[in-house]
Amino acid sequence: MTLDDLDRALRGDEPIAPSSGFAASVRAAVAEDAAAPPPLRFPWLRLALGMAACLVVAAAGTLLAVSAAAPLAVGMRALEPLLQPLGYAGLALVLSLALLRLPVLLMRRF
Amino acid sequence: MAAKGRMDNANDEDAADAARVVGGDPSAFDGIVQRWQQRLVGLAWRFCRDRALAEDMAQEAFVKAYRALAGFRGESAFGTWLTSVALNTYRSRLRQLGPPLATLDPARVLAREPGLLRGLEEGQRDEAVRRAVLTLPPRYRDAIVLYYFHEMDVAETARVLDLAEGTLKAHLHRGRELLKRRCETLGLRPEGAA
Repeated sequence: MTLDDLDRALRGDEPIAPSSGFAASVRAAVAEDAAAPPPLRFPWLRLALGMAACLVVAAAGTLLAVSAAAPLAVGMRALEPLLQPLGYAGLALVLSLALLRLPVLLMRRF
Repeated sequence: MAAKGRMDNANDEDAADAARVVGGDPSAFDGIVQRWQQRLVGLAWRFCRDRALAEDMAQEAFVKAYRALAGFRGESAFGTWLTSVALNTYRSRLRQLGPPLATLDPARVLAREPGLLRGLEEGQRDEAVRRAVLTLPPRYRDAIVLYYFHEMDVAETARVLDLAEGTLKAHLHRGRELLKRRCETLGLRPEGAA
Protein backbone atom coordinates (compact mmCIF):
# COMPACT_ATOMS: atom_id res chain seq x y z
CA MET A 1 0.00 0.00 0.00
CA THR A 2 1.44 3.38 -1.03
CA LEU A 3 0.87 6.84 0.43
CA ASP A 4 -1.11 7.65 -2.74
CA ASP A 5 -3.47 4.76 -1.96
CA LEU A 6 -3.96 6.17 1.53
CA ASP A 7 -4.59 9.65 0.12
CA ARG A 8 -7.17 8.30 -2.28
CA ALA A 9 -8.97 6.33 0.44
CA LEU A 10 -9.02 9.27 2.85
CA ARG A 11 -10.02 11.86 0.23
CA GLY A 12 -12.92 9.70 -0.90
CA ASP A 13 -14.64 9.69 2.49
CA GLU A 14 -18.26 10.68 1.80
CA PRO A 15 -19.79 12.96 4.44
CA ILE A 16 -22.97 11.85 6.16
CA ALA A 17 -26.01 14.12 6.35
CA PRO A 18 -27.50 14.81 9.78
CA SER A 19 -30.83 13.07 10.39
CA SER A 20 -33.97 15.15 9.90
CA GLY A 21 -34.56 15.64 13.62
CA PHE A 22 -31.01 16.67 14.44
CA ALA A 23 -31.50 20.45 14.40
CA ALA A 24 -34.63 20.16 16.57
CA SER A 25 -32.75 17.93 18.98
CA VAL A 26 -29.92 20.48 19.24
CA ARG A 27 -32.47 23.26 19.78
CA ALA A 28 -34.03 21.29 22.66
CA ALA A 29 -30.62 20.54 24.19
CA VAL A 30 -29.60 24.20 23.98
CA ALA A 31 -32.90 25.35 25.50
CA GLU A 32 -32.47 22.84 28.32
CA ASP A 33 -28.91 24.03 28.90
CA ALA A 34 -29.99 27.67 28.91
CA ALA A 35 -32.71 26.91 31.47
CA ALA A 36 -30.37 24.94 33.75
CA PRO A 37 -28.93 26.68 36.82
CA PRO A 38 -25.36 27.91 36.43
CA PRO A 39 -22.76 25.23 37.07
CA LEU A 40 -21.09 25.01 40.45
CA ARG A 41 -17.98 27.11 40.76
CA PHE A 42 -14.66 25.32 40.74
CA PRO A 43 -13.59 24.67 44.37
CA TRP A 44 -10.38 26.70 44.25
CA LEU A 45 -10.18 26.95 48.06
CA ARG A 46 -10.33 23.17 48.48
CA LEU A 47 -7.79 22.75 45.71
CA ALA A 48 -5.43 25.22 47.42
CA LEU A 49 -5.81 23.42 50.77
CA GLY A 50 -5.19 20.07 49.10
CA MET A 51 -2.13 21.39 47.31
CA ALA A 52 -0.79 22.84 50.55
CA ALA A 53 -1.30 19.48 52.29
CA CYS A 54 0.52 17.72 49.44
CA LEU A 55 3.42 20.17 49.76
CA VAL A 56 3.66 19.52 53.50
CA VAL A 57 3.70 15.77 52.87
CA ALA A 58 6.31 16.13 50.12
CA ALA A 59 8.48 18.36 52.30
CA ALA A 60 8.24 15.84 55.15
CA GLY A 61 9.25 13.07 52.76
CA THR A 62 12.27 15.10 51.67
CA LEU A 63 13.24 15.77 55.28
CA LEU A 64 12.90 12.07 56.07
CA ALA A 65 15.18 11.19 53.19
CA VAL A 66 17.69 13.82 54.26
CA SER A 67 17.56 12.78 57.92
CA ALA A 68 18.28 9.20 56.95
CA ALA A 69 21.53 10.39 55.42
CA ALA A 70 22.51 12.97 58.06
CA PRO A 71 21.30 13.83 61.60
CA LEU A 72 18.59 16.50 61.86
CA ALA A 73 19.37 20.01 62.99
CA VAL A 74 18.47 20.76 66.61
CA GLY A 75 15.43 22.89 65.67
CA MET A 76 13.96 20.11 63.51
CA ARG A 77 14.21 17.31 66.12
CA ALA A 78 10.73 18.11 67.51
CA LEU A 79 9.31 17.07 64.13
CA GLU A 80 11.06 13.73 64.14
CA PRO A 81 8.08 11.57 65.30
CA LEU A 82 5.96 12.99 62.46
CA LEU A 83 8.51 12.55 59.73
CA GLN A 84 8.26 8.84 59.18
CA PRO A 85 4.46 8.56 58.72
CA LEU A 86 4.35 11.71 56.59
CA GLY A 87 7.29 10.47 54.55
CA TYR A 88 5.59 7.17 53.84
CA ALA A 89 2.39 9.03 52.96
CA GLY A 90 4.36 11.19 50.54
CA LEU A 91 6.00 8.17 49.00
CA ALA A 92 2.61 6.46 48.60
CA LEU A 93 1.20 9.62 46.99
CA VAL A 94 4.04 9.87 44.49
CA LEU A 95 3.80 6.17 43.63
CA SER A 96 0.02 6.41 43.16
CA LEU A 97 0.36 9.37 40.82
CA ALA A 98 3.09 7.58 38.86
CA LEU A 99 0.93 4.45 38.52
CA LEU A 100 -2.02 6.54 37.35
CA ARG A 101 0.10 8.35 34.78
CA LEU A 102 1.97 5.32 33.41
CA PRO A 103 -0.87 3.79 31.33
CA VAL A 104 -1.61 7.18 29.73
CA LEU A 105 2.05 7.60 28.78
CA LEU A 106 2.19 4.08 27.37
CA MET A 107 -1.01 4.63 25.35
CA ARG A 108 0.43 7.80 23.80
CA ARG A 109 3.67 6.10 22.91
CA PHE A 110 2.21 3.04 21.25
CA MET B 1 -13.87 34.48 -5.70
CA ALA B 2 -17.57 33.55 -5.54
CA ALA B 3 -16.79 30.90 -2.92
CA LYS B 4 -14.89 33.45 -0.83
CA GLY B 5 -17.85 35.82 -1.08
CA ARG B 6 -20.17 33.07 0.16
CA MET B 7 -17.81 32.34 3.05
CA ASP B 8 -17.63 36.03 3.99
CA ASN B 9 -21.44 36.25 3.94
CA ALA B 10 -21.74 33.12 6.08
CA ASN B 11 -19.15 34.52 8.48
CA ASP B 12 -21.10 37.79 8.72
CA GLU B 13 -24.31 35.89 9.40
CA ASP B 14 -22.58 33.76 12.04
CA ALA B 15 -21.10 36.83 13.73
CA ALA B 16 -24.50 38.57 13.68
CA ASP B 17 -26.27 35.49 15.09
CA ALA B 18 -23.57 35.07 17.74
CA ALA B 19 -24.02 38.70 18.79
CA ARG B 20 -27.81 38.22 19.03
CA VAL B 21 -27.39 35.09 21.18
CA VAL B 22 -24.97 36.88 23.50
CA GLY B 23 -27.40 39.79 23.59
CA GLY B 24 -30.13 37.52 24.98
CA ASP B 25 -31.88 36.01 21.94
CA PRO B 26 -31.22 32.24 22.09
CA SER B 27 -33.38 31.61 19.01
CA ALA B 28 -30.61 33.17 16.88
CA PHE B 29 -28.56 30.05 17.58
CA ASP B 30 -30.87 28.12 15.20
CA GLY B 31 -29.25 29.86 12.23
CA ILE B 32 -25.80 28.75 13.38
CA VAL B 33 -27.04 25.18 13.82
CA GLN B 34 -28.62 25.17 10.36
CA ARG B 35 -25.45 26.42 8.68
CA TRP B 36 -23.00 24.21 10.58
CA GLN B 37 -24.83 20.97 11.38
CA GLN B 38 -23.59 19.21 8.26
CA ARG B 39 -19.95 20.02 8.99
CA LEU B 40 -20.02 19.23 12.69
CA VAL B 41 -21.83 15.92 12.21
CA GLY B 42 -19.50 15.12 9.29
CA LEU B 43 -16.42 15.81 11.38
CA ALA B 44 -17.74 13.77 14.30
CA TRP B 45 -18.49 10.90 11.90
CA ARG B 46 -14.87 10.88 10.77
CA PHE B 47 -13.77 10.53 14.38
CA CYS B 48 -16.06 7.64 15.30
CA ARG B 49 -17.65 6.10 12.13
CA ASP B 50 -20.92 5.70 14.03
CA ARG B 51 -23.90 7.85 13.02
CA ALA B 52 -25.73 7.89 16.36
CA LEU B 53 -22.55 8.67 18.26
CA ALA B 54 -21.55 11.31 15.68
CA GLU B 55 -24.87 13.14 16.11
CA ASP B 56 -24.60 12.90 19.87
CA MET B 57 -21.06 14.32 19.83
CA ALA B 58 -22.07 17.09 17.41
CA GLN B 59 -25.02 18.02 19.62
CA GLU B 60 -22.71 18.24 22.62
CA ALA B 61 -20.36 20.43 20.56
CA PHE B 62 -23.22 22.80 19.70
CA VAL B 63 -24.24 23.06 23.35
CA LYS B 64 -20.65 23.81 24.36
CA ALA B 65 -20.38 26.39 21.57
CA TYR B 66 -23.61 27.99 22.79
CA ARG B 67 -22.17 28.29 26.29
CA ALA B 68 -18.88 29.64 25.00
CA LEU B 69 -20.32 32.12 22.47
CA ALA B 70 -19.67 35.07 24.76
CA GLY B 71 -15.98 34.23 24.51
CA PHE B 72 -15.94 34.41 20.70
CA ARG B 73 -14.11 37.64 19.95
CA GLY B 74 -13.94 37.33 16.18
CA GLU B 75 -10.14 37.02 16.23
CA SER B 76 -10.46 33.97 13.98
CA ALA B 77 -13.16 33.02 11.49
CA PHE B 78 -16.30 31.73 13.19
CA GLY B 79 -15.88 28.37 11.42
CA THR B 80 -12.35 27.96 12.78
CA TRP B 81 -13.53 28.77 16.30
CA LEU B 82 -16.54 26.46 16.09
CA THR B 83 -14.46 23.61 14.65
CA SER B 84 -11.96 24.02 17.50
CA VAL B 85 -14.77 23.81 20.05
CA ALA B 86 -16.11 20.71 18.29
CA LEU B 87 -12.67 19.13 18.07
CA ASN B 88 -12.08 19.56 21.81
CA THR B 89 -15.50 18.09 22.52
CA TYR B 90 -14.85 15.08 20.27
CA ARG B 91 -11.39 14.48 21.73
CA SER B 92 -12.79 14.57 25.22
CA ARG B 93 -15.60 12.15 24.34
CA LEU B 94 -13.20 9.78 22.55
CA ARG B 95 -10.95 9.79 25.61
CA GLN B 96 -13.94 8.83 27.75
CA LEU B 97 -14.88 6.05 25.33
CA GLY B 98 -11.38 4.61 25.48
CA PRO B 99 -9.38 3.15 22.60
CA PRO B 100 -11.37 2.46 19.42
CA LEU B 101 -12.72 -1.01 18.82
CA ALA B 102 -10.15 -3.42 20.20
CA THR B 103 -10.57 -5.59 17.13
CA LEU B 104 -8.99 -2.80 15.05
CA ASP B 105 -5.79 -2.95 17.03
CA PRO B 106 -3.45 -4.48 14.43
CA ALA B 107 -1.31 -6.25 17.00
CA ARG B 108 -4.35 -8.04 18.46
CA VAL B 109 -5.87 -8.81 15.09
CA LEU B 110 -2.65 -10.19 13.68
CA ALA B 111 -1.95 -12.24 16.73
CA ARG B 112 -5.01 -14.24 15.74
CA GLU B 113 -5.05 -13.99 11.96
CA PRO B 114 -2.29 -12.31 9.92
CA GLY B 115 -3.40 -10.61 6.69
CA LEU B 116 -7.00 -10.71 7.83
CA LEU B 117 -8.11 -7.89 5.56
CA ARG B 118 -6.35 -9.06 2.40
CA GLY B 119 -8.64 -9.41 -0.59
CA LEU B 120 -11.31 -6.90 0.41
CA GLU B 121 -13.25 -5.00 -2.26
CA GLU B 122 -12.00 -1.48 -2.98
CA GLY B 123 -14.78 0.26 -1.02
CA GLN B 124 -14.33 -2.00 1.97
CA ARG B 125 -10.58 -1.52 1.80
CA ASP B 126 -10.94 2.27 1.79
CA GLU B 127 -13.30 2.08 4.75
CA ALA B 128 -10.81 -0.15 6.59
CA VAL B 129 -8.12 2.49 5.97
CA ARG B 130 -10.40 5.22 7.39
CA ARG B 131 -11.11 3.12 10.47
CA ALA B 132 -7.42 2.37 10.88
CA VAL B 133 -6.84 6.15 11.20
CA LEU B 134 -8.84 6.02 14.44
CA THR B 135 -6.32 3.62 15.96
CA LEU B 136 -3.43 6.09 15.54
CA PRO B 137 -2.11 8.07 18.51
CA PRO B 138 -4.43 11.10 18.98
CA ARG B 139 -2.02 13.76 17.67
CA TYR B 140 -1.63 11.92 14.35
CA ARG B 141 -5.29 10.90 14.21
CA ASP B 142 -6.46 14.51 14.71
CA ALA B 143 -4.02 15.89 12.14
CA ILE B 144 -5.03 13.36 9.49
CA VAL B 145 -8.78 13.55 10.10
CA LEU B 146 -8.83 17.36 10.01
CA TYR B 147 -6.45 17.66 7.07
CA TYR B 148 -8.69 15.56 4.85
CA PHE B 149 -11.84 17.08 6.35
CA HIS B 150 -10.52 20.51 5.30
CA GLU B 151 -9.76 19.15 1.84
CA MET B 152 -6.02 19.17 2.49
CA ASP B 153 -5.84 22.83 3.53
CA VAL B 154 -2.74 22.89 5.75
CA ALA B 155 -3.22 26.48 6.94
CA GLU B 156 -6.83 25.99 8.10
CA THR B 157 -6.03 22.62 9.69
CA ALA B 158 -3.10 24.17 11.58
CA ARG B 159 -5.30 27.02 12.81
CA VAL B 160 -7.97 24.64 14.14
CA LEU B 161 -5.36 22.46 15.85
CA ASP B 162 -3.49 25.54 17.08
CA LEU B 163 -0.23 24.17 15.67
CA ALA B 164 2.51 25.71 13.55
CA GLU B 165 2.21 24.58 9.94
CA GLY B 166 5.61 22.88 10.14
CA THR B 167 4.52 20.88 13.17
CA LEU B 168 1.30 19.88 11.45
CA LYS B 169 3.23 18.72 8.37
CA ALA B 170 5.51 16.64 10.60
CA HIS B 171 2.48 15.07 12.29
CA LEU B 172 0.90 14.34 8.92
CA HIS B 173 4.08 12.76 7.60
CA ARG B 174 4.63 10.61 10.69
CA GLY B 175 0.93 9.73 10.93
CA ARG B 176 0.66 8.63 7.32
CA GLU B 177 3.80 6.51 7.60
CA LEU B 178 2.38 4.86 10.72
CA LEU B 179 -0.98 4.35 9.00
CA LYS B 180 0.71 2.84 5.97
CA ARG B 181 2.56 0.36 8.15
CA ARG B 182 -0.60 -0.53 10.05
CA CYS B 183 -2.52 -1.07 6.82
CA GLU B 184 0.24 -3.30 5.48
CA THR B 185 0.25 -5.24 8.71
CA LEU B 186 -3.49 -5.74 8.34
CA GLY B 187 -2.90 -7.13 4.86
CA LEU B 188 -4.43 -4.20 2.97
CA ARG B 189 -3.01 -4.08 -0.55
CA PRO B 190 -3.62 -1.64 -3.41
CA GLU B 191 -6.01 -2.75 -6.11
CA GLY B 192 -4.47 -5.31 -8.44
CA ALA B 193 -1.65 -6.28 -6.11
CA ALA B 194 -1.23 -9.92 -5.23
